Amino acid sequence: MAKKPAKKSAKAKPAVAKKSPMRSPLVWLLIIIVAGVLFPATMLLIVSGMVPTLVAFIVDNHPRRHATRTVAYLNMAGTFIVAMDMWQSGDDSLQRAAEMLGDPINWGIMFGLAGLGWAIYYTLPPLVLSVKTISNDVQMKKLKQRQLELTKEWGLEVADTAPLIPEDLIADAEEAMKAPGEQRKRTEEDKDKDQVAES
Amino acid sequence: MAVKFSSGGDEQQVGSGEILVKNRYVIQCSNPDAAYDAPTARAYKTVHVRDKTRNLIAFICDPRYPPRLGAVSALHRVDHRNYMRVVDWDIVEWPGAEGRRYPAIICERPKGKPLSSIFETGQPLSEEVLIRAFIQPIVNVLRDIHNQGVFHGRIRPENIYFDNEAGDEFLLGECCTAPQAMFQSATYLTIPACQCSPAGRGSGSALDDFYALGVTILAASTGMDPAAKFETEEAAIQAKLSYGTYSALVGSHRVSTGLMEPLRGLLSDDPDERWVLDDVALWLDGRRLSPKQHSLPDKGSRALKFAGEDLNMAREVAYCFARNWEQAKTLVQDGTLDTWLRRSLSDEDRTEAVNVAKGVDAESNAEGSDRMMARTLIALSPDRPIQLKEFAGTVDGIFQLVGVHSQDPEMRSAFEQVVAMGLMPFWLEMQSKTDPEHLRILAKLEKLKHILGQTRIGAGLNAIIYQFNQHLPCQSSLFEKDFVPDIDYFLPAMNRAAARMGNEVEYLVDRQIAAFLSVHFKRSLGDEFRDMDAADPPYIGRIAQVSVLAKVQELIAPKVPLPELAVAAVTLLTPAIERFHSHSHRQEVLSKLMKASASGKLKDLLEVIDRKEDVEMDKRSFMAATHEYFNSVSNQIQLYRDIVNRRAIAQQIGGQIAAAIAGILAGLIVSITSIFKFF
Repeated sequence: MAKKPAKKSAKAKPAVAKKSPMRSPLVWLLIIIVAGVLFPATMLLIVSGMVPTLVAFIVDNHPRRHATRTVAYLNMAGTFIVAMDMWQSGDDSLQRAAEMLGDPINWGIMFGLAGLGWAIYYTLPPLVLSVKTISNDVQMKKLKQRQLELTKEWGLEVADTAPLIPEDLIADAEEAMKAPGEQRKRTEEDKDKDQVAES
Repeated sequence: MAVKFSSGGDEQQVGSGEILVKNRYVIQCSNPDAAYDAPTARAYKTVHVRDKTRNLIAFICDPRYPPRLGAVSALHRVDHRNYMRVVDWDIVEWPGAEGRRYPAIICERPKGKPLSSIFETGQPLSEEVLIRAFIQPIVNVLRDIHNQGVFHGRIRPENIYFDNEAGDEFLLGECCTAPQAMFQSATYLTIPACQCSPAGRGSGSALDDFYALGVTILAASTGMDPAAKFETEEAAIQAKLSYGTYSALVGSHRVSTGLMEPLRGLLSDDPDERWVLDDVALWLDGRRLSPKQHSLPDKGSRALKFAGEDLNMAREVAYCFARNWEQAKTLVQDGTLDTWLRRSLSDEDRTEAVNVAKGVDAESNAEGSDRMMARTLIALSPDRPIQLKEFAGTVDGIFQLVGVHSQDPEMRSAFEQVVAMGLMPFWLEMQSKTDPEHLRILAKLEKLKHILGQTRIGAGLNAIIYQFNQHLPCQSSLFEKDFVPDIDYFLPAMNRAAARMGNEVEYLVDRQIAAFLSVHFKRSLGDEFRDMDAADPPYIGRIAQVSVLAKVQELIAPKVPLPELAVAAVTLLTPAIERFHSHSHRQEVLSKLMKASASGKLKDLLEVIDRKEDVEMDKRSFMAATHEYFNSVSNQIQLYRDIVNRRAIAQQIGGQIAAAIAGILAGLIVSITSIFKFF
């Protein structure tokens, strides 16, 4: 049986990571206020155009905030395109900013790109899951095949020192594999391999 | 069709065909010569291949009673016209006996009937013929035989033959078809020898032969078998003990005065007074001696009444006690014997000896009382054999006794008890004269005593038996149909046994073979026997068995292939390929073994199965495979965990990739837009 990895000492204090100042909402609020004072038109465009990112930030409760980041990058690109139009015209007054916000195309650009972000975010994990499923199957087959070869060559004694695979883990894995959309027909060969590996 | 021996109670059956022995003699299996049958051997006419005029006879011996093959080579050198010369011997396969093999001893064939034929007519030999044509030549023959260090042990009228038509020439018969004196009638045996078990009479002596000659002369001179006057063997022994041999056998017969003198001398019960070669030779030369009449031992003033008999002498008491073992214990233990010895026999020495014999720690158990009883018998009559219940033999005879009955658990146990009880040293202690040969035997036994109690293979009682019975055939069940008297016959017999086994090979060396080899094979086999003893792992014992046989083959017959034995060895070794972990290597080894067996050399097989480098390599590879399997299962566990958590993982990785793609896409959009806007 494999030795369990040594548990970390309970007495060891968790390292206190220094929190980046950019992560503090207050800092951002301050930046926005300062930028709003210095560049009121640009800030009006940005604040208005980045609403989808704000929504994403609110609904995304993942610690790594992948959804927020995905939406934010593209939303920011869209807002930047609209802002560039304003800067190119040389008029960066609040009126001009209001005009631009009155143009639905601009909203389309900003929100469209944010929508593209959402689309990417929702498309990739299932894609990764599919790839991962195939990869796991291939890996599992390889491992079982090798174990079968070893057993054929050296007999069951070769497995004497190997760790036992917890039955509940196998059951959970089988349950996970049977999940909707992931069910697959297991061949007799697979079952035999499992038996050998488990023995 | 097997040879049937009269001792087995079967009638003789005749085989068919011929057996060629050593390319020199042809035994005619369909031509029995029943007139010359020995008690344990059937006689068949035999022809010399190159000299058809030679009159030969082959004795096919009963394998249950091992012939005296050790004596054959010595007797072969005795070439005397009045002796049935032993020409040659071998182990032969009897035709139609399903491969059963028998010892065959080829001798010169007598021309006439046995001397015992005179008993039918009751016509004795004349004194002149007896002295000139019988006693003189037979004494010369005995001189030649004794000079070879061999004692005959079968001198009796049935084994002395007329060698011409006139009936004035005689031929002394063979003496090597059965163990020494085993089938000699009690009448022709000295008082100590006739009290032994048949197989326990030892190697005999010149005194025994001259005693038997005396009885034979008596028979020839009276024309009557002295044994015929006794209803049973016990009666003959009882008469000898009560009256002495001369009185018991001569009795009312009229013996000529000329023969009375040698008969008194030859039939003397006192070994010191008994005539031997020189005395008979002097008498034949005309010098008249006057042998002292042997006085009987002291008689008691009152008889000891026991088992319905009146016992007057200590030796009679001992003989009667020996026949009524359990009942006699009471008389010894309750002091009745002691009282009789003191008050009636008045023999202080005997009384003291019996007290010494009883003075052992006679435990209350049966073994303790048996020991006391056995010692008491020796003390009562020191010249009688060592006896423990039915087991009775001389000092050298008890080894032959246990050898002949080596498959009888009771006899084996009795022998072990005799040794454990120290009866042999006590017997020697009780003798007035010590025979150096007896001391030599005792010293040899003391030296080997430690292996008697050992249970390891190649030791124990079996080894002792083979040690003291040099030509006892190997008693292994593998040789049930064979006869293996020495190491030269061992390997061919093993090859035949292997052929009989076919595919059912359970073992090739059992305890009997191991004990046989430990005595007959001059190189040490201790390591192999130790491995055979080791039960775990089981294949070690199998390899050790083949190793033993390979060593024997290498030393005894390195150039003689043993194909059947090699095939059997492969079958035996097949489970031993499990010593290799690798299944593919096992197949390879098996195939190599099959190939190696074709050479018939067992050493080649061992080089395949017992190659240290291969074993080490396999061990190392197995360790590596075990390690790999360990890692593989660890990875599998990790994979199962991944499968269980793969949604979360996919979500995590998908989110990361999505953010990265979004970042890259955003960068590209901004860059491309900037380029178009500003340039």
